[in-house]
Amino acid sequence: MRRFKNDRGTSAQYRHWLRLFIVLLISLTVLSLSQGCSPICINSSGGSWPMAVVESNLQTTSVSVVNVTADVVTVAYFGLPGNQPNTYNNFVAIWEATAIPWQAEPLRRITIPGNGQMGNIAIDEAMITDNAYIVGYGVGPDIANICASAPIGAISKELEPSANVRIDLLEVNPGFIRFRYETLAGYLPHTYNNWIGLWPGYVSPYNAPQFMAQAAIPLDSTVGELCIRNIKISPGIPYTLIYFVGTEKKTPLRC
Amino acid sequence: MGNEMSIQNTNSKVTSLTIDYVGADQIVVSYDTLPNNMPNTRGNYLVLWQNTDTIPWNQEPLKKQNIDTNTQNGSMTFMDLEITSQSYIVGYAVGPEKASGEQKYGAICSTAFIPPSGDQYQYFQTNLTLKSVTPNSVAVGFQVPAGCTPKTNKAWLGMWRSSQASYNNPPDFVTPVNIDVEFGTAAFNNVKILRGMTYTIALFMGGWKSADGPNNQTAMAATLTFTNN
Repeated sequence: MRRFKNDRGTSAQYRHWLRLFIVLLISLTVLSLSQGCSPICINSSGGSWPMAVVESNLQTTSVSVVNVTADVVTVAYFGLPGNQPNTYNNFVAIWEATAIPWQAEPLRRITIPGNGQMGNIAIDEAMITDNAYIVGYGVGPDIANICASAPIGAISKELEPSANVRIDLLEVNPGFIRFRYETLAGYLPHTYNNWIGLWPGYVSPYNAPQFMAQAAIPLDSTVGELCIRNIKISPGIPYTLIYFVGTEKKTPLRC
Repeated sequence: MGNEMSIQNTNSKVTSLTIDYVGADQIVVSYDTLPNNMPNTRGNYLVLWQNTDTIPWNQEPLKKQNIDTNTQNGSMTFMDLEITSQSYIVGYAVGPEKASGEQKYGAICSTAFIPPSGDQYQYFQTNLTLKSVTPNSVAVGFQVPAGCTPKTNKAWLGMWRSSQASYNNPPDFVTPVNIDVEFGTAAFNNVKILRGMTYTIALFMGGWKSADGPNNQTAMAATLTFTNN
């Protein structure tokens, strides 16, 4: 088993892809490539494999509640590097519930008006009572594209911790990687066509080249462990694993 | 609580009304409006009803008197009255009477209640309070007189990157009041609150047309200035 070291931070390499974004947009399938939710970069380094140390850097989409009044809920969102929330039809929606009721119409839904990777939006006409509410952030046009949520507690309106789709690297070997994924409560990752892709290098989900491996999430479980096999992981090379919350069907993946 | 910004030097201004004297046949009222207001040009008026402590928004008053000067503050006397031991309410309007479909006296933003006896007058001023400021959104609380329906009356809010609201310069950001409540919150979205800058929000009691404007910016009732530090 390898050892992993997680730390947060934005890679400077992303700046290069941001510049390429406009040039290559037309050649990409926006629906499938605009919904990256949780990339994790794998950077294997060191000499022989048994002594290798794997460094990983997880970046996620997140949303948090900043302020609540009877009429307006102000939220902050933080997307992946290169995200263009308005261009990709990102939105926030609010329900009167403690977890997102995926089949129910939200009380209010607002498309993000700007293209900043991080920003804020005030959900007006929210009509907040003493009951509990939950805000979801979608990285595409569909409710199934929601990958981050922030609850508003009942009565006291104490703001509870937010949640988001995430992936964690469990094991890296020369021929396979094993990872854990976690989606929001009540989410159906298989039904909603979630998939995961693996690329060599630091890859932006919005400007990605051909993947070296990809697979659909095979089950509708909100938490699972999966492997990608029959790949070649080379020491000293960075890799990027990206979780997508919706696209066309991919080959089912099982560990 | 997320990335709410540090706000300093919040300063609010309101349109206010004071009862100076109540006699058997006259009531003397002072008013203090917002900076740069021209009460006569902008159709401001004072109005008096015999009523409880709320404005009867569509009823004919005992007296209505246009402000006949353009000074920002002043006083005026309701004459030829027959003041009994009943209660009365006075309203100050920052714009002319409204068209049908809106509350006729919906431009009233400041009130003074005269009880049946004594001089314990009760005042109300339309006001704004800052609820939340983030880099891209501002939520602002508003309070208008009881029974007022600001959405119906096409009330709206403008925000300038300035220490003062303007009757002439179009605001940098606008938003309508989209609920018919006397006490609520409205929000600006897709704004940019810059580092270290001062902004002023104004509430207009009517005149909203569209987000693209131009909106009628004469009926200004209250302002709120804040600095993002």
